[in-house]
Amino acid sequence: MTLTKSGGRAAARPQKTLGQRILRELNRNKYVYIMALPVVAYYLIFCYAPIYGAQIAFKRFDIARGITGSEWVGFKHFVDFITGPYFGRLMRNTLLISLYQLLFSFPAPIILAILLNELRSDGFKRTVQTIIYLPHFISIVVICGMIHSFVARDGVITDFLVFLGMERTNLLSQPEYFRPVYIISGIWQGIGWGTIIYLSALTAIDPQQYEAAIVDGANRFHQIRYVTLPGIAPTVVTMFILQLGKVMSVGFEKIILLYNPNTYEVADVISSYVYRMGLSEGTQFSATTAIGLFSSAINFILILIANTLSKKLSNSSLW
Amino acid sequence: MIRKHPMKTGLCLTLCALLCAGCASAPAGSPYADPASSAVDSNSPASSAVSSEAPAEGNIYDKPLTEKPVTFTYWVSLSANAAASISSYAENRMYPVVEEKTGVHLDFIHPTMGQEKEQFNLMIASRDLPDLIEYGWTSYNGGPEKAISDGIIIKLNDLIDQYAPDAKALMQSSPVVAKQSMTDSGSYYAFMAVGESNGKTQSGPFLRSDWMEELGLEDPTTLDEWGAVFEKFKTEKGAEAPFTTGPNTVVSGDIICGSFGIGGEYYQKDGKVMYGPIQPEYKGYLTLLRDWYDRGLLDPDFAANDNKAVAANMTSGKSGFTLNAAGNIGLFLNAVKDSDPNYDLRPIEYPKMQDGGNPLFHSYSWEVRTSGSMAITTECKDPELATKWVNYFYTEEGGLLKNFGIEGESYVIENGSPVMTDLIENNPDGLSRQQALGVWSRGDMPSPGPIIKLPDGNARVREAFELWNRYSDNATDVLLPPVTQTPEEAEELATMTTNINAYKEEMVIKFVMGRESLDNFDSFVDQMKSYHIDRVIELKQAALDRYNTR
Amino acid sequence: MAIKRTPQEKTFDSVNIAIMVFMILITFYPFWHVLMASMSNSNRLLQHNGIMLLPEGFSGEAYRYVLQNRRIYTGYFNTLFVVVVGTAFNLLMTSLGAYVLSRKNFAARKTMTVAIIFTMYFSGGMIPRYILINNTLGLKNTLWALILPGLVSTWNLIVMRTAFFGVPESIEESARLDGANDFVILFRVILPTIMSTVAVIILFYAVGHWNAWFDAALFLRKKEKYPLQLVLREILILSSTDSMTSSVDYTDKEAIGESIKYATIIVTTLPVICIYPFLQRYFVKGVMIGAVKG
Repeated sequence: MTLTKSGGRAAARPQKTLGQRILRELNRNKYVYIMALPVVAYYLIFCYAPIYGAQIAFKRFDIARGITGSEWVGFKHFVDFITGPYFGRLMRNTLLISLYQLLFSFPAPIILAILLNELRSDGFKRTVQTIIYLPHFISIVVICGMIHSFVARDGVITDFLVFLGMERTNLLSQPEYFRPVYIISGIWQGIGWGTIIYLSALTAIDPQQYEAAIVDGANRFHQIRYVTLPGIAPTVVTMFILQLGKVMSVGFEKIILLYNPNTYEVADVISSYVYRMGLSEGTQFSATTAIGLFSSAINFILILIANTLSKKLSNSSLW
Repeated sequence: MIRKHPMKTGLCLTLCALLCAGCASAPAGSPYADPASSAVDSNSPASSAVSSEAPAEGNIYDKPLTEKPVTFTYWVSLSANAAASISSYAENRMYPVVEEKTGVHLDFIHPTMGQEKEQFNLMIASRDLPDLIEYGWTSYNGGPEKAISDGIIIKLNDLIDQYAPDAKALMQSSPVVAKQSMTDSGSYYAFMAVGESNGKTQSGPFLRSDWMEELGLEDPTTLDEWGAVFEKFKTEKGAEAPFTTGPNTVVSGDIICGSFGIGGEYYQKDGKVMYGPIQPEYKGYLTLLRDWYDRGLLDPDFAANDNKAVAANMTSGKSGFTLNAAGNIGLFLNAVKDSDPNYDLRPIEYPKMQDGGNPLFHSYSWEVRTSGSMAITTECKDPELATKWVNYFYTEEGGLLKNFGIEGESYVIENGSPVMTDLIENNPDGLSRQQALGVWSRGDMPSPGPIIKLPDGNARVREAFELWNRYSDNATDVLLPPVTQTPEEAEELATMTTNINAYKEEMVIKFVMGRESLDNFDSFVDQMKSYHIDRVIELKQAALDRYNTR
Repeated sequence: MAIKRTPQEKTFDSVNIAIMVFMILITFYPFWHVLMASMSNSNRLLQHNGIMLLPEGFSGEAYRYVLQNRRIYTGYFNTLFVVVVGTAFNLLMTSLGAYVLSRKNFAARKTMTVAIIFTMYFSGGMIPRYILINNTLGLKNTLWALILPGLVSTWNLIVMRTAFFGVPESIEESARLDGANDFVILFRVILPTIMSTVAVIILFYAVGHWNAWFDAALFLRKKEKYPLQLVLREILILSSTDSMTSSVDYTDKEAIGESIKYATIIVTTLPVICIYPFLQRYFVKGVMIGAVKG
């Protein structure tokens, strides 16, 4: 394997005459089109064919008349949501939790992967890897049950914090602790599983690069700085852009397992609001679809912006 | 308040015998308790229907209802009890008996547990309908009337008149049952499960009986006395959270604020829909809870409690009092019986009203269990046969089969009343009574037909049903019956109620925990008004009016 | 790397090992807790609060209860089928898609990428999807309903494409000069050089299939067809002590409900945990394999 720069997209190729190139392109793309066929067919059938259903966001959905037959109401559901009394709070909570996730939960597995990479013993490295991803497989209900008992008035984490000088309380009943508990427990559960993708990217770095760096007198920190990080940069950028496209979609499951009326003001996010709406009168397909569409649109715009910025700044992008 | 149950006299007598003989703890005021009151009801055509048909041709179920075998597809949730040992009602012991009797074969479709609502909605949206659907039709968007006009299910009035005399008799057995069995405009849409299993009120207050004995305390009857007991638990027994419960009880429970003469949510007063939290009395309720919270009587962590936390508190000595389902008394007692032989729990009555009167508000389940109602869809080729078939469960014979299973196997008749055999009571496969019932019959959960239940195995649980149901019929005057909103109303309500509920939950907790001064109660009420609480009440009122004129 | 470590590096290594030991402790605990709770007496479990290092009153009841359910075994079989067949199709389709999207001289590349990313955000919702799969394609009550609708995960597609970009073009060029077409280049040249990514993709898809239950709940009507997760989910729901307080009708639950919650997790997770070390070597040794092929 040869040395590659990040993304490896800009490598020069041998010059050929124009005629040769066109012929070769045609020849090459013939197969590419054949390969694209099943993938395109999949997306058309399973993703684009049902997309007409999104129109119920603009309708008063009536099960009997079906999606296409229901009555149009325009942007009513959007306006109802945006002008509702909780809109500001829902947006703020959703964006804040996403922001904290980007700041803390996103880099955590990257750092852990790099540290893992620096372990000298292969056996120890494997042991660590095998264990740290375990929490990923434990259902969120059970994880939240553990969180509840750890941060209860007499829980271990509470005991520890009281030892550090905090006033004894149940952390989940206090608004100020909700976000830290949510974010830290998220890292706890996800960090191991999150390293997998970066570990795989790390294996693609040529050991010769490290050797060359050592010959140049680089110490371990220099190696991390100048070999490891650039090596996984394309993966990090891709992951970051994808993560940015999720800021509006903080999942409801963990939120509703951890929040209570006393912490609504900091914990209630768009998805938990939609969840409660589904529990109220009737089945609000139209209104919930509208809110979903609203979130998706923002996510999509964000990913467009992130991609453009990334292309300008780091020359790597999703498209 | 006594309701009349005209049924075929035979069944009626059997039931009475059963309930009287079988249990010392039959809820006081049970309509089954007095044969005389239930035997005749001039309003009901039951007696005439039965007398004209039954003697003339004997029993229509003496020979199969159909010459050639017919199969109906039947969408129904498999009860959790049954699912403990069978994976489909096709394996239930009672249906082959019914099939032999009627010639009707069933092909069951069971939604996945926990996904019933989603799967029901998708089935309706895709119109991939079976012949028969057992579901809580009142939760259909727009109500059952809408399900008929949507062309999902058929109106049953004519079919019931012609082919289901026994079902008709039961579904018209009292004014309340009759109202709840039909839609606003008087359509029958499903065959209902009717009856009260262990009494209409299934949850209420219970406390540490052993502590009470030790401290020599009398059962508290008023909220002030409750507070005194909590105080004793705290000081004498070192309970950190004498009264434990979760946020829902505080936010929307009826039991405590019922004592102030108001409901925790929507209720009715003289036919007018009211909303508890905006009544002046609600401030009194909040003040009391705030006081309990401040004095450390109410669990300081109630806002974050889930069921598991309440269970842990009640079984570990941290708490001595809670409001919960009767079944939990049995569960907690079982949990502690090995580690602390002295541990005991006992139910107490609902608190007296502030003026000393008997309690009005109750946690209450109505006699018509819409969750076990079966409708016939527009896909069904032979609705007449389906009607005749389901009517079987409303006959004496079918009712016994549905509730207790096969005579001579799962139950025997002793002194004219059914008694469960060891197959049910001490199941050889280690199933609990409910689980065994779910295999031999459908008596574990509501299903079309009369609901008859045997008294609970645990004496404390029986005591709870008896005590809590002493005044439970008062609740019909104040509780909102299951009303139906039109689709337009439902859509308008959705956003408003979501906002109102969130605001209420949050503010009530803040008031109780002292994060919001009670002086701000008036602005809380004003804020409710700006969230259109008046409009919500108006829409509920409209639905109630339609219900009342059914 | 037999190079002498500076004191600074020694400190770094010690700290690093300390961090890893800490990580092991905190990430192993939940699994240990679940394991211990699954072997506990349910009544004791109900009273328990906080850290659990040993079972609370040993009992194998929960496992006996879970394993006596014969649906577990059909569930394992169905899940195995979906995982094996599904993942194979996923890998094939994702490789094809990632290859197409990584062709710089493929005219429709950009449009296609955006169109595919678009589907990550905008969908028709549950109802049209259900009607498509259930009514139109007639996949109801077949295991294909669990495989076909999720043939390509856009997220995995992008991950794989990112890895494709990392493959040096010289490798491809030399293959092409030897007369290899795109199929040969994809399957014989590119995929073997990025085995670590392939392993990740396989892991993601396989674990995804392993954990999936929602589509199965929607499309499968007969419980014989249920995958393991759905079978266990039902066991969980019907034994849950929580449901008792919410249900109107009092049903006397068996008291093992609390420990069953944990036993089901062990029963479902153990196979995945056992398989992981086999895939893991690709994360550690990916370079070697790449180097040999390259």
